[in-house]
Amino acid sequence: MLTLKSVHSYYGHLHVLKGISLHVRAGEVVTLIGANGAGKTTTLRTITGLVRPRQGSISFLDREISRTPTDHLVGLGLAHVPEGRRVFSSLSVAANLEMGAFCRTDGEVKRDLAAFQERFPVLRERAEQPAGTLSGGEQQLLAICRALMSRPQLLLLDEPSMGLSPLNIRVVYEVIAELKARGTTILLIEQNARAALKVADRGYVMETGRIILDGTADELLDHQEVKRAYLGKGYQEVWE
Amino acid sequence: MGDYLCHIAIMGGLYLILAVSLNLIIGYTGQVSLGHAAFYGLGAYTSALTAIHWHFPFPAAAGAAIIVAALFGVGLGIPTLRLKDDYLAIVTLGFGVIIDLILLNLEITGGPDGLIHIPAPRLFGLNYRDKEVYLVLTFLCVAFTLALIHRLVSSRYGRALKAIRDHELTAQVMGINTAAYKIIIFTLAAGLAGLAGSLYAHYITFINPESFGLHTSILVLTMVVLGGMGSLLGSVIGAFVLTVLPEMLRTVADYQDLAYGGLLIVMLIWRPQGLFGAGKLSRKFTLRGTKDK
Amino acid sequence: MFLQQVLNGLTTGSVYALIALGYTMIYGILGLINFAQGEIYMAGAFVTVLLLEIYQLNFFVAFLLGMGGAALLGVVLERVAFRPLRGAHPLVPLISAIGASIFLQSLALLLFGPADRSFPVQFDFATIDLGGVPVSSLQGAILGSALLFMAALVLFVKYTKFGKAIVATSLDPDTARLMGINVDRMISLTFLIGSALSGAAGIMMAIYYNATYPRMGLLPGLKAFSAAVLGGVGNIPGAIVGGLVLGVAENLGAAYFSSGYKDGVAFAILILVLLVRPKGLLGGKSH
Repeated sequence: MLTLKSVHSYYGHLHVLKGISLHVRAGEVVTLIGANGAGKTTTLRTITGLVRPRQGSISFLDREISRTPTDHLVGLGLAHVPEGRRVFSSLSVAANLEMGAFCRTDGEVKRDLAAFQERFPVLRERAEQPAGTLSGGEQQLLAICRALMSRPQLLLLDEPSMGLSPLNIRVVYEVIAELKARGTTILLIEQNARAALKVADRGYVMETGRIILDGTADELLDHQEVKRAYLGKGYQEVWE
Repeated sequence: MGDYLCHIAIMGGLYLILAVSLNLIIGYTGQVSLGHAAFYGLGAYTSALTAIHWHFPFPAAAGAAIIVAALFGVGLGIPTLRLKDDYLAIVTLGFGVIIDLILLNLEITGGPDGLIHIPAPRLFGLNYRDKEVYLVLTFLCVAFTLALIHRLVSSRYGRALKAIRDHELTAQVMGINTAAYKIIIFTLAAGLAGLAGSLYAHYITFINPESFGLHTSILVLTMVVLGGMGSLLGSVIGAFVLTVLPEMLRTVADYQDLAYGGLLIVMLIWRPQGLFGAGKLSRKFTLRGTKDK
Repeated sequence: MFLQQVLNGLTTGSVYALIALGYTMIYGILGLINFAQGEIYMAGAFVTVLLLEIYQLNFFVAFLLGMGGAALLGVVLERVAFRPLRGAHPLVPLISAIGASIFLQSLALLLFGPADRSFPVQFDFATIDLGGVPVSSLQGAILGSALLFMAALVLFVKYTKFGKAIVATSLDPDTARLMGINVDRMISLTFLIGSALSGAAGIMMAIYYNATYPRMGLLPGLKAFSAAVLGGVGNIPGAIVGGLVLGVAENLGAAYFSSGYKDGVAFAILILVLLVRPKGLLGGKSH
């Protein structure tokens, strides 16, 4: 569904992505893990056009999108939950969800809104409150639902566990597992490698702008390097 | 030298002092002041009033002008410590308008009609109503101004100022009292503008608030932008270009403001560093391409 | 006397509020102070006055076309003087706006001459007595229509898709893009709406003072900016409150202290607010 070939990205003179190639097939959950500063978020931002790749190609549903303006991508079926959640803080919770559906022209937006509020009652309880008053975990939920409001084909999730308490991380990952069960295609960026690999089908490991490892989630969970660098002692055990 | 050419040269010299002093503020605090003409006006009125009512000789009147303007410069400098960019620009504008209003409304300043019969200087027995003589006086003041600024820029203080401009936080950490330096800049710039005001008052011999309002402030700003913000040479050139050109194009006087306005926009889009801008500050003002689109 | 002044103040204040809304919306979405807002106000008045003079159109049609003209000018201004400068040091668009302001003023001077033009349509304004205070129906009309516009804007921003999109774009343009919102279009829309409101303000003042002239936007523009700062720049209800408060303060100051300094009240307030509470009364956003 999504293919990146030798993508190079820069922030000014800084060469951040040094030839990234990866792919995501329909229905899969693929995760990109790596340490801080490895370039994971930049990868997502390059996919959605917030950063323009200088070289390489990005294709989504057989369509070259490396030059497509960001605001056209939602219409193509690509939704991005940014790092740090980035809810519109002074807009109400309901308005945030509506913004997620900005591009939709069918008449079922209200129905979807109601469905999300059904599944996550906090969204209904706080529907008219400014999104900024929600807790971190609630905002994460909101951000994910907001992205889902566009009924995307592919969901890009950037560090959903960041800054959340272990309880909230659990909740968020339950949601991700649900989405997977429903067949949503997801590209998941995470520092929390264990949680990510538990829910993913396949994974890539990134280090300083390059992909150094890839394989199925199980393969990676067992891999020496991965274990040492990302799953080592002292790492938060959410799932044990 | 013809009277007319002398006049242009004198006015050019005055605007040069104004432009160069405004550039001090812009170049060394990185902030725009939209009320610079207020100091010009304060200097002019102070000089005129002390000469008329207390019979101050020119050097004393000019000195008073410089001091009064400088004091107000301190006053304007203080908000700069707390405000930045847009807000500061507007405050300086407000300052200019308030001074304008005060000059317009106080009895002692003669209201909208201003002051007349300002005595010409009496120095060394020369006749200052002769434009050539006044030109020499102006020239001396201009030379003094340029020399002063040049000394400042190349001195140890100048280096401290550059440090503040480029990396304020670092400078503070290094123990440089950035607040004091900023205020000094405003004071100096205001004082110089006050000097220009005094020269103006005793040259034209009548003054009214109209010459010292927002319009003049913006004209001076245009000169600085044209020449290059932060560039001393640029301000000199800018001042002359914008004084001489309009005089030579008297026939199209109506289009002057149109040209100034258009010039500002065009310069900023096409060459924001001005004609002579170079170096770090100009790069600050140069367009950085948006990193993604 | 006091009530009279308050009423006068509310009338001019509501006009300041309309212009202030333009400032605040533009600052909210672009982080820049549109120095030329006063000229857009002036353009609205001129378009209406000229249409009435030359074509003798129906007043309401001319009013709407005046707003439209101002709106169009605003959009063009953004394209020409601000869009090419995106990404530059914040003072650059400010100076560009100043340049635009001068340009437009002198253009108007060249085209229309400096003289005051009286409003081509004469209205019969009655004076009603409200509890001892003579109220002109003109004031009522201005206050009423201004409040109507303001209410319309608030409703637009709170309840319509595009209104919310403008707020979203002001808060976080990158994330707004992720929602599929075309940021450039939202910016143009903001200029369109803000300018239309300023244009309406200009027309109202052209009627109120029976004078339309090229420099008419200079002072109201600056005062409205003070009003926006007073209320909190970027804050829409703030602009409304700021405008009304400023209008009243100005009139009371002129009546009880000195009329010569009336124009200075706005700046005094501005400087005070910026020094004491830069966020303004209702809290604005910083860029």
